Amino acid sequence: MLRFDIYIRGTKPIIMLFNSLEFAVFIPVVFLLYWFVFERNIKFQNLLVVVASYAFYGWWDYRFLALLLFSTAVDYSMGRLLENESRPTHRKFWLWSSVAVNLGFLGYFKYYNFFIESFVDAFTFFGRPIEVRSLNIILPVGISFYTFQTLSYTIDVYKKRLTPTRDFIAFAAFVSFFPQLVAGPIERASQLLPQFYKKRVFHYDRAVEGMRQILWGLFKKMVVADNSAELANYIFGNSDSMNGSALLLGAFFFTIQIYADFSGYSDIALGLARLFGFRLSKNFNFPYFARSLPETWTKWHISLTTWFRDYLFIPLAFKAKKQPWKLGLLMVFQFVVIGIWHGANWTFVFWGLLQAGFMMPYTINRKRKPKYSGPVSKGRLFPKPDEALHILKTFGIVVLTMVFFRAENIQHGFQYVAGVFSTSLFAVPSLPDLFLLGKAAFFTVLFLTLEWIARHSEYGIDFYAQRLKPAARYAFYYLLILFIVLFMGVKQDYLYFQF
Amino acid sequence: MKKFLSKSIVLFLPVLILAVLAELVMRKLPTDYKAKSDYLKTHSASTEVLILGSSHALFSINPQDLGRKAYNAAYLGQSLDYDARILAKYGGRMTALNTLIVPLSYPSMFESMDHMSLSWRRYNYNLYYGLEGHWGLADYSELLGKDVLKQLGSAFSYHVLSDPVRRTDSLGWGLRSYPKDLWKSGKASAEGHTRTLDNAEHLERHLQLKSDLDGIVAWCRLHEVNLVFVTTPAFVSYRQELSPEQVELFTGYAMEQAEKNAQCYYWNFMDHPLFTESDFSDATHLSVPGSQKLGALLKDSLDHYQL
Repeated sequence: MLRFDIYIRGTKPIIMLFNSLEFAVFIPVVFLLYWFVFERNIKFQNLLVVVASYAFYGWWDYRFLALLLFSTAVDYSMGRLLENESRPTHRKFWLWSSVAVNLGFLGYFKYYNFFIESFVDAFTFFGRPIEVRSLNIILPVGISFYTFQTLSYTIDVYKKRLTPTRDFIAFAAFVSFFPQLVAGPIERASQLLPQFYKKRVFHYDRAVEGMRQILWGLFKKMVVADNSAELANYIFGNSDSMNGSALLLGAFFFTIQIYADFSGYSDIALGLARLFGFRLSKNFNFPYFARSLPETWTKWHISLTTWFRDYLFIPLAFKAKKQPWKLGLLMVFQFVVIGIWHGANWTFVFWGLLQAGFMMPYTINRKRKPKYSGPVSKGRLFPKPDEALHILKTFGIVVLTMVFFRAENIQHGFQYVAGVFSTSLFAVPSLPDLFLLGKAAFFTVLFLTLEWIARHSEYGIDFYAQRLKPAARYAFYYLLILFIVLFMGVKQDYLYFQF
Repeated sequence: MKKFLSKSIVLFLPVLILAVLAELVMRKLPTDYKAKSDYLKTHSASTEVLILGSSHALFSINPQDLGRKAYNAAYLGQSLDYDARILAKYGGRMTALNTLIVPLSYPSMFESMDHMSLSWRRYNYNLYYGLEGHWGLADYSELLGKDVLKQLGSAFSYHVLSDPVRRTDSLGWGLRSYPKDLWKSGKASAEGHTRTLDNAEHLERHLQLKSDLDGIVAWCRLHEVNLVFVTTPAFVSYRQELSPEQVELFTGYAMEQAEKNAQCYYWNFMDHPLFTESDFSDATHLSVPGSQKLGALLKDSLDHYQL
């Protein structure tokens, strides 16, 4: 018989995306409750944050709330145990217990099938095929983000850089804070947790700034990223029948997509946090205007790269005693870990290796420094020709390596790159939908131009909001809203949800 | 706080008012979805033959050719899971229903509309058909359901240029298909439709769609309705690119059901010699002359089996 329940399986699960109508209803309700009903009592305000965050996360799949709660309880308990323990071996035991639990969950949900399948492939390659069943595991959204956030808490407590909290609700709010729960920024406990102890006061200017940043984030995500995604998806999906110039466009638009998508999400997250009286860390600093790859890595996904720098690279580099070859190996290790953090696929490992390869000269030869540092083209509208060349060269490397980030597998990546560098590179792109190309190109140029002009400010439209007169400012906001309403691309999930 | 709230309201109010007005205009448009769902709501008791399916059935089967009170409820991208849900919703009130025609084609047992590029169309099945499902808030709105520019374009064409928005006739038959190069479209479509059970995602989707088909078979058996699986003609440029394993999956399923159930039939016209190049508008869709030929063949078969 036909029943209702059989249909549920076939339909897409609804994630409460920042650019969904569900979220547009959710956020004013939470905002009004937060500032009008619970504003007198900080404990209740924090509790509201926890309830709202769990509702936000549970909207996707309520079963994983238990995982989030368990992870929170484990790290809270470890903090308390470390506080009361002075014996080094016991402290180490509690630290490693926390690391094992957190990475254990991450490993199981994210990497179990990857390792099993890789083992099977390896045994088959050496003529000893084995049969191990992979599991049908659902990857909990945002697990890589909140796992690293809670890990930083335990490590900081262990290192005595942070006093462990005794306020479970504040800690739960810190772990699950909905603006940054599923795609970061990965906040340090020392930065965010104390904000849950202090009474938040509503500031008009900060709230307006928050709204502005949300608007900019929505424009980046819904107009720039989603339109670029349509084109990039089409080209990557049909790469074997595309000519070189079309493939180059595909790689270019994917590079734009991933930046506009992820930094757009971060902008919305930062803006939302501002509305609730919090300040989150800056996650992007105009990375595509960097003049060298090391500079790119100081501007791209800053909360993740600094996490790895502080909790992995620096402690290990200290042990490596600054020996160039050891530092080189460490660099490779770090980028492989960063690569695999993004997903359980060899393409990410290879992408990490490529990054390490390009960074290597700067690591093993400490005298070699990037030619440019400091603000990009400070005091100038256009960069000097030499600086512009460095920007283009760096961006070219990013585009090239992004092919492997997006490819189905490494072989696909190589075929794609080979396709780019073919004789058809200078031919007219073999694209069927020129309207889509025009739309994506127009908004990409507009976006990059606006970002270039505003590159020394906090975020994209901050610059314009500070300088434009009210009428022009409102016109600018309405123009962005108009672009969003009329030209938003086919809705795509945020890329970083899968990481 | 008051200043913030009042300024926010001032900023967003014009946008909201415009959105509500645009929504009202869109809702007034006589779309195919509205017409099809209205027909099912008002004519269910008199319909004898119901045709479900995607664009293959929409353009290929003209109910008028069948010589019975038939209705074509197929539409672009309408996959088997949606067919099953339409049947679950409206089948019960179709007291005169004698025969259900369900087209099965190469991608049928792998493609769900929820995962296709046409997935934006799904809101219509909530808004107009009222089907059960996991619907988001945007699925309750014309404006948010699809590309706003296209929506405004349709409204402009209808109200200003007097261009009919509907692309189907009163019996649900698709009036306009878009001619494409038969050789190029055949190869491209076949590549786009080919799936493998080795892929976990494809396998999962296949099993879900198969269970939806099982549901349709069970429903027909319970309600003593004849079930006809039809594979519509496809041009040689498409057929020659197909994976034999995937072909076997849907033909095998249909043949097995036809063998097991006395009231179930499978008529495969995929490589019927009657259809020539001029009968196709693209490699998988029939032109008007082609659909006339198929209509005649279907009528003969229905008469032959006294359905």
